Amino acid sequence: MATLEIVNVTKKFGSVTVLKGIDIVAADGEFLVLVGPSGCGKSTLLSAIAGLQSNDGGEIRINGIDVSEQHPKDRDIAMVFQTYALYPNLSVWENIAFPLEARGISKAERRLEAEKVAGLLHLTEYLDRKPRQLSGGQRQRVAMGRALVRDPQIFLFDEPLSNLDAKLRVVMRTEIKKMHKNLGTTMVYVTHDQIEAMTLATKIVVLRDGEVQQAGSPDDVYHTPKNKFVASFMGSPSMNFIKGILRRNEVGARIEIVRPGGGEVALDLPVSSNLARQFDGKAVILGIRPEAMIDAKSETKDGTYQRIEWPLEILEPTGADTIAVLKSNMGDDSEGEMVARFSAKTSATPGTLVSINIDVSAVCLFDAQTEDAIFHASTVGKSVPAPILLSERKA
Amino acid sequence: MSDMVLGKQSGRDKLFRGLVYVILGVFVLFYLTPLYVMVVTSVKSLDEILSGSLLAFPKTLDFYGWDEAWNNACVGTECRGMAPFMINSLIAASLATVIPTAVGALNGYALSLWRFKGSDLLFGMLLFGAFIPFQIVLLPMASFLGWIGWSSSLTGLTFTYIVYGLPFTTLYFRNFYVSFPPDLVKAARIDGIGFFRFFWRVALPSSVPIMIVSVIWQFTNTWNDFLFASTMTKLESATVMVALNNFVQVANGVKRYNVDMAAAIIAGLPTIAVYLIAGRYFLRGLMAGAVKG
Ligand SMILES: Nc1ncnc2c1ncn2[C@@H]1O[C@H](COP(=O)(O)OP(=O)(O)OP(=O)(O)O)[C@@H](O)[C@H]1O
Ligand SMILES: [Mg+2]
Repeated sequence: MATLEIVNVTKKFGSVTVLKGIDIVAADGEFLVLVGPSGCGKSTLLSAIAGLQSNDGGEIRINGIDVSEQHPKDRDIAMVFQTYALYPNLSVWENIAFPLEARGISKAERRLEAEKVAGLLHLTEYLDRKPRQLSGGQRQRVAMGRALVRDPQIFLFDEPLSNLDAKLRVVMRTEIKKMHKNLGTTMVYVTHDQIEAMTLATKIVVLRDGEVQQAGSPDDVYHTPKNKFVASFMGSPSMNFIKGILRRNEVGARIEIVRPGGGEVALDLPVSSNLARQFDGKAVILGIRPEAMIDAKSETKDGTYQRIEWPLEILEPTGADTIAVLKSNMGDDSEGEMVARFSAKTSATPGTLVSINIDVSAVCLFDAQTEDAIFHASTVGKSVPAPILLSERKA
Repeated sequence: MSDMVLGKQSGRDKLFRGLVYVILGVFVLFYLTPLYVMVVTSVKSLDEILSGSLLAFPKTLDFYGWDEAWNNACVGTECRGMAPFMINSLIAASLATVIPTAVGALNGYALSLWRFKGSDLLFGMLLFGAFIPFQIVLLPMASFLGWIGWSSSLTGLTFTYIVYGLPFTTLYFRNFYVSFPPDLVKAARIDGIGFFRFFWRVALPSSVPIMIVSVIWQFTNTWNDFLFASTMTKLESATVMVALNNFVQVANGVKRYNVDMAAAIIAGLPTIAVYLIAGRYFLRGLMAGAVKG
């Protein structure tokens, strides 16, 4: 049971600043998930919390007390490593109970504790095996067991499931969630997996290049991303981006979009008049999640959908529905692909223009210059003032 | 022929393989012939040696040579056989194997897994010790031993072996531990497992292969050493290699080749034993240590 505060922590490796003043607060019992692209400093931040490296600035506070100068073992933190870090020559139960050995607990008692933890993790029958005789999932559980046996104030997980196959990952994800629910211990969890982040977290922190981009509940981060980076990073498939010019009009503003391969379309957006005035005539980027882009035949109950015609590249049936890959107008960079969710029985023809319904109550707008979010339609209220407008102009 | 790993072999592959085996066979013959000659000569009578061919198989087995070598071989005027010198060698080589291996393991462990400021510099200096030719240190070492009162004694010789073994054993263990997963040490630090506990419970038990390398290296090198042993010992503290040289050179009349050969084989037996017992780990250990460093 502990609160964790990371206050303006900086860390340099030589001349490279890996952590550039990180501020994060985790309440007691929080499940904090750190996400971010490879090399952004997630593991470095965990090491900083654990005390495996000294920081160049800032404080790590546990229960309000700065522990920056404390030895890792005095911080009462347990960590599960991506590599599991099991001691290869020790048996499963010795691995689990090894932290207790250092505390001078008798062998009989250690064995007992290991058995208790092994029971929770379904490892009882493997207690006397060596780590190399275990499957990946079992090793992962041993690593968790070694953390559990210590009953620490804070758990740190560095991509604990990334070496497992997809199915096992789902199982272990649920196990971890249950574990958090039962223990109520504060946890910091690093992952690359969107779904892990969304399902486990009570708070997600998105990092990029050693800086916090956004911290908030999974809902916040998903629906109201602070900038284009967060928007594209969270969610899979990731958010679609379309560039256009914003023009003020009677419902708020209209975004005029030049279609790849010619033609122009437009969407009306319920932005505030202030914003419309500020960005009138300026370049903006529209962000739409794939699930908010559906084929025109799909049901659109409320009046928040607007229809555009857009060039379709290919269809990828997945069974339940069909992924439609659309042409992008963002240029050749990494976001050069757009994805929409079509119904399984779509009759759309690749290579032609198809009708798409866009849920404008779920879109975001980003300043094309700074890439900061300027507008989240989901915060406006559920209905759009204007009815469906077929707003299309042929060039 | 089909191989699980290499797949089907073409005619050229087969030819190539055959060639490799022929070359290997020639080398094996080349290295085994002297041993063969030694063994057969040691069990021939002197008459047979002088009359017959070097390579011929003995007509009758005669263990006179072995008996003489073990029980009556002379150094100077004393004819006490080889046993006392074998014991000297055994003491020196065992201590010079166990101590540098143990200390080298600890050194290598500290220099790789628990680095500290200046640990790389320290390691560099130790390496330097491994590459200084022994001839250079012979005189300074001898005078140093004289100064502390250990000159011409087995103690002094053993001490020298230990000191000069340390850079090598440290190097072996350091290079072995460098490829140890760093996360293990991190996990240990978080879990409050200290330097020595981790060494004793995890690092050392995992380093059997490199321990074997260190043991073989130290034992054979010190057992076979002639340079230090001949300069730093006197008669009663001589190792078997020094003694062997004396047996052979004591020339009173006819050279007794069978005795010489038997003595040489006896002197070499312990190292052969060490190889046979530990040898199968040797290559494995060398490889494990060689991957990184
Ligand atoms: N010991 C080190 N010395 C120098 N640079 C380092 C060191 N450790 C990490 N770095 C650098 O710091 C940056 C952040 O590394 P870190 O391991 O924290 O990334 P990460 O976010 O955990 O990435 P991943 O998702 O791939 O695990 C990287 O650019 C890395 O090269
Ligand atoms: Mg990492």
